[in-house]
Amino acid sequence: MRVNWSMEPEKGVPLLTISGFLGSGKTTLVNRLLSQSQGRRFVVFINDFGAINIDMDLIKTVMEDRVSLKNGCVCCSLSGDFVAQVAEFARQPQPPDAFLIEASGVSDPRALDASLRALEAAELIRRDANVYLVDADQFGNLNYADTELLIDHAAVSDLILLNKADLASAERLGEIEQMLKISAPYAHLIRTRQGDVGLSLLMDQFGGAGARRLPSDAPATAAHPDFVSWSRETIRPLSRAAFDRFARRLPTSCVRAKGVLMFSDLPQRQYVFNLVGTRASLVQRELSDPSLGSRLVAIGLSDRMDNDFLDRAFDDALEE
Amino acid sequence: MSATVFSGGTILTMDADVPEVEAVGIDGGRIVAVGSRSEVALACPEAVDVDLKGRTLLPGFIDAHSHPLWAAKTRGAPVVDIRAETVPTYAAVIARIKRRVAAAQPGEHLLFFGLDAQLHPDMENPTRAFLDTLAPDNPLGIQTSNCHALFLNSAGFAACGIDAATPTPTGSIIERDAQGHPTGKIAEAVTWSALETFYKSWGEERLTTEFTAQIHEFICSGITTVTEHLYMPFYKGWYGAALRQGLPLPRIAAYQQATTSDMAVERIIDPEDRLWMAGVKIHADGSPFIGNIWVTQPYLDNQLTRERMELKPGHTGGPNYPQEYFEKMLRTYIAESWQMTIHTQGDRTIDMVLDQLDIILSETPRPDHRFRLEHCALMRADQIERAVSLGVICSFFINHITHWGAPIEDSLFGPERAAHYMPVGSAVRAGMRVSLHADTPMTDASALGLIQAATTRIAGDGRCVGPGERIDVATALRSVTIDSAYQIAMEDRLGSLSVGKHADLVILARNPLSTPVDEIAAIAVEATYLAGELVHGT
Repeated sequence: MRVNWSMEPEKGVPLLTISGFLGSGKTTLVNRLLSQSQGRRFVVFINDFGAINIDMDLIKTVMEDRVSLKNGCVCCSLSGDFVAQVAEFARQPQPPDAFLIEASGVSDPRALDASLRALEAAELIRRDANVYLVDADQFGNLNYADTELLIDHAAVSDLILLNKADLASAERLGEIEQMLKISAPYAHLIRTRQGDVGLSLLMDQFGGAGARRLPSDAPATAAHPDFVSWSRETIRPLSRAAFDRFARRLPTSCVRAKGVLMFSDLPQRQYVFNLVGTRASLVQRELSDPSLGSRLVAIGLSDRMDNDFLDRAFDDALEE
Repeated sequence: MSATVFSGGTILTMDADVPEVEAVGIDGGRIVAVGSRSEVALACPEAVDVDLKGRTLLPGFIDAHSHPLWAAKTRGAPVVDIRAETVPTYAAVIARIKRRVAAAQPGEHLLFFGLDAQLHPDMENPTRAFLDTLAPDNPLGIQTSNCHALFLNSAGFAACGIDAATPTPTGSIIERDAQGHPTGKIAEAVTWSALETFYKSWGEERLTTEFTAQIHEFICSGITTVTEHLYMPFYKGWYGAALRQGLPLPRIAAYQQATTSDMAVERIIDPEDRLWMAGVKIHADGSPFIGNIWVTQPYLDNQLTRERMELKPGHTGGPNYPQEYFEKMLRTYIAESWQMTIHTQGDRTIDMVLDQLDIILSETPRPDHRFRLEHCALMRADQIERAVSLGVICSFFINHITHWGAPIEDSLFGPERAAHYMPVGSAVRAGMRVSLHADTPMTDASALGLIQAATTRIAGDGRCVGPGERIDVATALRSVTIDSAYQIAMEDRLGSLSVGKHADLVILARNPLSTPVDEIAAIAVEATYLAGELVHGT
């Protein structure tokens, strides 16, 4: 398992990419996120601007390449100068909580990589999860080369939504899942219908700069039976080296983990730990309350996450 | 082709005497004026003005060691890409191969590129018998990402004409069972000749398409000169055709591959400097990633080296050719006055080459030989000193650090050797004029990527491998312009914006000297001029 480990403070607005082949349900997912933003302000970039179908009641203003919603979200066309537009939003006094980028139907999700790297290097954004939608009903109807391209795209994503799961037979779903588990082994896989990924789960992929939420309770996963959560609290400080080992094992079972941590070598400091997919970060901050100790919450797929294992591994990270 | 004057931005000439100027004038494919705006305007009265609009003008980049035509053969369709970037595990590789076999035409040659013992964590060495179970009828080959080894099934061996009776060419490896039957893996020169069987089966049209695409990639990265570092005599037809069709082919410095001491090397000279025979290349050893390099200290002993690479504890490898055989080749081509470029990765190999060169030069001195060592992964500090005193220059394959830095440090050689792996900084401090290369098809062409790699040495997982071997941006810029021109012995015609040189230019969106080092690779190449003609961008 690869973990891209960063000890740098997280800077910039989180950015999530949503890609998938034509008809895989990207627009439906984006519509869902826009209309249910739950108080968060998203700026969405859409390649096929004409296809977006927002409820008229939600719309505040419409311009040629930009639709503003009453809930504060903004929907932009991806056709303009993408880097300049993102930079403009990110430099606002109150930057958005997240950028969502809906890449076009057949294009390579990696095509935006150079722009995103430049924005990230300028600390205007930080890349959150790459979400890839697969149409369970239509999968396999393309020719060999296009099907392989689809699998390439799935393999470089963090989260695969096997969408339109209700339209495919159980047997077919099983086959596709089996294939994706082998060919995209580092991506997490969720079955969805009309992009109905548990909204809270996807939203929790963000730790918005201004709206960073720390886990006090386990996130609600009841809405999505595929997910389970695990959490631990302790007032004993952690061994940094042992926690490092623990964290490197997390991505095999967790989609996401988050917490505040206290280490034995610097007990007057607190650290915010964040794991999305295979990317982990640890950011130092002033200790607000020494009695808080450490808290950690993880969410994972029910067939992968072993809470007993996590308990034991976490115990190993506690200082003797 | 009318005269053109460039001004209105930063102009980095890479000429030490006048590093920055206001304007550059070109005419007839050559640089005709360099200096202040008024000086250049005076020299080019009829010129068309190009406003750089704050952008940065540089001489076109020179990749001192790559393989444009070979890259087209190796990487383009219908070769199936199985590099770890998108096919992350060996299990995923096998799954992809199975799907490809299921879609194959009868007898179709199937080739897969990118198996990687370092980056495919569950890597196994596929045997011929195993590959026969995947593809009983189609010739099938799997090439490693370092290009040096190939795994074949029975139909593949048959198609390439390799069997128990085939002698192993000197310098190559054919793994065999007790009866002499090939067991699946072959390596070094025999790999590259076997692959020609696959390339030929796909026809010429496919290669033309892929070659055009590969040329385009170099040009779009601002590379206006590149070497073909495994040139074979039949390549000439392809290059000739590309030039006749007027394709924007970067200038090609060919280095013919020698595997014996009796090969004819054609003296190709072109008055326009579009294609010429620059010298001879010999592989003194192989790839650190398959274990066939010669080192004084053994590889580390761990799961990766034992199981994925199948190395025994204490493995120190060896040279490709017996020493006398290699020496005979060296003497032959030096006597023919060719510039020599020797592929060397292990420090023991470098000892051997420098020892032999020392003797040859003492017997038959040659003042400006520009003897090159290529890649130089594990070159030691004492060898750098010795190379400088012998007039030997190094071209470093710096992208090893970006692509394989973590396994190099953790699994192959340990932190002490990793700290000086590809010792560019030490070589520069010793006064050597170094060059950098991407060795395309091994890694993708990008001179700006090379600069970022050499100035940061950041590996794929974010760690810095060998911070003491980093170089500054100005030095890195020279290593992909004027110093690489020196290494291909064309510093009088290429590599800087100087009057009389070829008008090969690149316009960048930002000045690399004032861009944070971790953003250099992302600088947009906005325009490329080759021999005075705009061949990319605006």
